[in-house]
Amino acid sequence: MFRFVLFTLLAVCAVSASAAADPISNDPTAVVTKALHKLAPNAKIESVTAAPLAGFYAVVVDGRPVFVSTDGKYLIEGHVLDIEARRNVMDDAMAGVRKQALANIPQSKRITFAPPHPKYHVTVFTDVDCPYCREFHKQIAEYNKLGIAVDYVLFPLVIHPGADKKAQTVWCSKDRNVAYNEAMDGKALAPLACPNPIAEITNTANAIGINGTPAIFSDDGAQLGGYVPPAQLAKQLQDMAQPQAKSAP
Amino acid sequence: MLKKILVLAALVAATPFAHAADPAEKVVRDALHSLLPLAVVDKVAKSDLPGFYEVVVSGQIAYVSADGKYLLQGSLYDVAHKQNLTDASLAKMRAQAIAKLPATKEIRFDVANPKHTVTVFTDVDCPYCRAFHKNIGQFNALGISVHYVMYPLDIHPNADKQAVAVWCSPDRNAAYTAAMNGKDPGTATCANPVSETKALGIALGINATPTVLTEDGTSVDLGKATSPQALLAELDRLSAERAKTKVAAR
Repeated sequence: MFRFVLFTLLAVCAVSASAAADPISNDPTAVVTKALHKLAPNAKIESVTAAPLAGFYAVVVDGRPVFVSTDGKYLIEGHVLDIEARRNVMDDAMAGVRKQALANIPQSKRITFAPPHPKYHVTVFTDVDCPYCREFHKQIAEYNKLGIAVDYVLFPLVIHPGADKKAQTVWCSKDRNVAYNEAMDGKALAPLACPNPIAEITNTANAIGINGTPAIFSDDGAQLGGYVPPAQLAKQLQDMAQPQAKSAP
Repeated sequence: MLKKILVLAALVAATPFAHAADPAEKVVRDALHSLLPLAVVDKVAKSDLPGFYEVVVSGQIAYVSADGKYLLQGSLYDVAHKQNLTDASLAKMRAQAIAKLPATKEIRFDVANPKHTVTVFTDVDCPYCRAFHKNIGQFNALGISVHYVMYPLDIHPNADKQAVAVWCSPDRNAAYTAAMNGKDPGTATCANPVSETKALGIALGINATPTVLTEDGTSVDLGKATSPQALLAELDRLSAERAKTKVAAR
């Protein structure tokens, strides 16, 4: 997408280069790319948007948020706190990128455990060999009962040798939900192989800075956990659905 | 520097066009106070980043927008010079402070004509401080002078009393070495700088021991200094880098 914008701009610049001294420098992606590549030549820029802070772009690079001054001279890494709202606005850029990344994972690449009439929907990056992922799944009926539809995406961590094979086996089973239940119960399944979305999910996870499991996200890209028990997760989702009630004094 | 500012302020104040004070500075202080009512603000000064003030609160550097709306905490980079300006500010603040520490407030293991002098914030009860001091003879042999600053951590009960006991021994260097080898330093007391150096450490954002600072205030990554030779190499590297930055800045 950004590459596309950049190419278009270059094409435009080629015909109108004489009109302005340095037309490229007004393009946010070009300014940010030039600045970031000076600091980190291999950095992969995932998004550039206007920051809430005047004079800065909010940038997601290699799965992390940074701010870059619109003149490309300064870069800020860390937290940017809106003092009055007591909120880290640096995270907002991440949420946008996460939302898009989650939306890009089709239903056919998820393993869904949903109640008949779900009130809420979460995407959970999970690893068959991760203890808290197992703890989470033990209570899947409880999450569903509270109206939470859970979409798992398989994200075996490299720190768990063999977890990728197990994830592949689950995916390649005739009934993925049953196989996932069994794997989370610690049952050893006969290894299966087939085309699967694990590499793609892993790329997505890296691009949005997920480095542990379980990682729970709402559809708007907010990270809800870590492992969160059913009642608490329902409460968080409920609070998010009624932001006006939360912001009341 | 301060004197210069005061003189300048006096001159400015004498002119009819003068502003009493930078109004944004008050906005910044008020914003910090609303966020951290109990925090002691050590410094508010215009930052390299246009529209922002650099502030020092409890030894931590942050940046507050001149309108008082945003606080940046983390690292600010100067892209063109590939420099972490936050680290540079912290190092400068630390360098100025340790340059002012007299021999009478440190326990020094000096060599004649040192290649490097490091200032080490240390705690008698900290295992890594003990491991560090085991090599003191080799550090000195390699031309590294070591100046210890007593910085007993709250997580070590009685470490403050032990630091005082070491300080109040007739031979501080011998008592420090003995304590670092596990000998009980006893309970001697006397007038001592321990609470002062501890407050200094907090104000400089020192949050672990040992913290090893070069003369320009850079904190040495001890992961890169696993042996006396490696420490020397790291100190050489840091001072070469410093020389390069100076040339680049010219």
